[in-house]
Amino acid sequence: MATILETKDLTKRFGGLTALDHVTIKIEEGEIRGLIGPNGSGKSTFINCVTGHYLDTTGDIIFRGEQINRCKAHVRTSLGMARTFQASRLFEEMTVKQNVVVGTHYRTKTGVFGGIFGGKAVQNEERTVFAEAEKWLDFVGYEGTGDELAGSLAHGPRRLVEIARALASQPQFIMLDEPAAGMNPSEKVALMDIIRRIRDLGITVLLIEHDMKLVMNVCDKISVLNFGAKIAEGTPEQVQNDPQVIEAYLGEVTTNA
Amino acid sequence: MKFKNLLIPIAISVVLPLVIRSEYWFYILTLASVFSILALGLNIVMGLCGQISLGHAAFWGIGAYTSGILLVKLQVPFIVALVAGGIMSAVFGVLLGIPSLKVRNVYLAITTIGFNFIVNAVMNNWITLTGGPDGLPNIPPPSFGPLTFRTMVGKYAVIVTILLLFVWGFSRFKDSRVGRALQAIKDDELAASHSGINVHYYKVLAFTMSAFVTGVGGALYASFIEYISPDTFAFASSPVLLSMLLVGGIGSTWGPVIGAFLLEILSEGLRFLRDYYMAIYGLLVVIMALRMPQGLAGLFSMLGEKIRASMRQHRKAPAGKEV
Repeated sequence: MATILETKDLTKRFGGLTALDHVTIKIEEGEIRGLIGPNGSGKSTFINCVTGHYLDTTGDIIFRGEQINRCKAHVRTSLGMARTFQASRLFEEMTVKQNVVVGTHYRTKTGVFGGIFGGKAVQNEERTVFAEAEKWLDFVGYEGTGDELAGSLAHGPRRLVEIARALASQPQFIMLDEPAAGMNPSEKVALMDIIRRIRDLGITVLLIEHDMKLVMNVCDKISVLNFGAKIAEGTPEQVQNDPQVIEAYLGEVTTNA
Repeated sequence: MKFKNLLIPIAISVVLPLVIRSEYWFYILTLASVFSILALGLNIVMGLCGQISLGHAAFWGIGAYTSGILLVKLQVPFIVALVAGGIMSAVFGVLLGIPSLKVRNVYLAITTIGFNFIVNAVMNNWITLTGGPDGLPNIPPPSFGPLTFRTMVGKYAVIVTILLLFVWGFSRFKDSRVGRALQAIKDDELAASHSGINVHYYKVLAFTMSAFVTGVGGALYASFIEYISPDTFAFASSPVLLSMLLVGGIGSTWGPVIGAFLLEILSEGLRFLRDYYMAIYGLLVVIMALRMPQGLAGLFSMLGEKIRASMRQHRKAPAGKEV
């Protein structure tokens, strides 16, 4: 199995605070990797560094064999990574379908003049991207016509639309930042199924999640962050039994269970 | 937008000159059409892309002066001057678009205001080129080959045709790949960039396209009034374009047209109020902004939606009885 993402000594500082401290993580193609840790341990910062939201990092980020430290966010998307956000960020004043279609942006071609004056190729492209959007909305199990405004959606559906939008860019690697937040139990079960089906498409998944049951169930391997540093890595069983992890984070959960 | 959706506006545009006999009101309607184009240009950068511009009178002026100078001093054909006005304005659109990458919101607003002041200062002081504060007189009316549109009806026909073309183009653009990219940037820049959209490129593009349309509007203005002077394009005119856009409905296709016609007609209709005129006009704009953030276009589409919904219920009701 080839490595899809590798970070070497990835470090990110906010003023005096070191949010990520020499994090070295290697993710193999086709796995579902969990990234857990207490609040403020640097999980979202990790995704933000990998996706290019922060460019002032030190250390290396290697994606599919290419060093991408200085690439801007949209370039990284075009290289095959996609993400969702901790607090879902949809384009509120656009319809659900249009939101997903935006995900196809970088691999479609129509320019300004094509958009205005049309033509066969443009019409075909429009038809294709909207059909694809419908396909992805079906894939995540979104219920609705897709013509409603994204701003009108409840928590659960918003999460689904965000995942569909990320998938529409046809990524090799997708990062889901707390996708279960705000979901009810049945939606969480559906989410687990979606994550597995995403992997079945050949897409590598990095999952940040607070819901331990979900993480332990769905992930092949888990990396644990605490105070910006990686403290453990391994299969769910290994991580659950790691004394450092229990001390930092899982202690309460295991005693409750 | 399908062509058939333009049939009603075309019909209205054709009927108006038959109904309105007053030369004066005809002048107002033509002026409103010019303002519609100017506001439609502003709608690209503000309505679609969400970047504030309080300096669009500068693009209006750049288009007007470029076209006016070419027509008066070089006697180029009208169509060449028209396109040149748009292109020159678009070049300055790129120049204003670049700082927009670094600054946002109020700081962008201040930058665009500064741009307006600079452009206006050049118009006032580069006297050999622009004629300075005295303005540029004797600009020829629109003409295509041997056809010259000297009369008010002729000018109206040219300007309304171009307006309808721009409205059609705008509506097509809005629902295209690039139009969606601009709207995504307006809604959430961060999510847009992570969805693979080159935010910097499209912001500059939005300013460029916006400046082009407003510049063409400026070129039309010059040939319509046949005289231009710097004070028309001073900073004070920029908020006028903005209020037309807000009252009509920012981001919508017909919003700028509705706003431009309403405010232009209103400002003529309120003249009997004399000193109170600007106060009442301002108050109306404030009320509209507060009570109707979607503008009149939003109100119309909401009403249309309600009527359609009640018609659907009407049709359903008898079927319900049978069950």
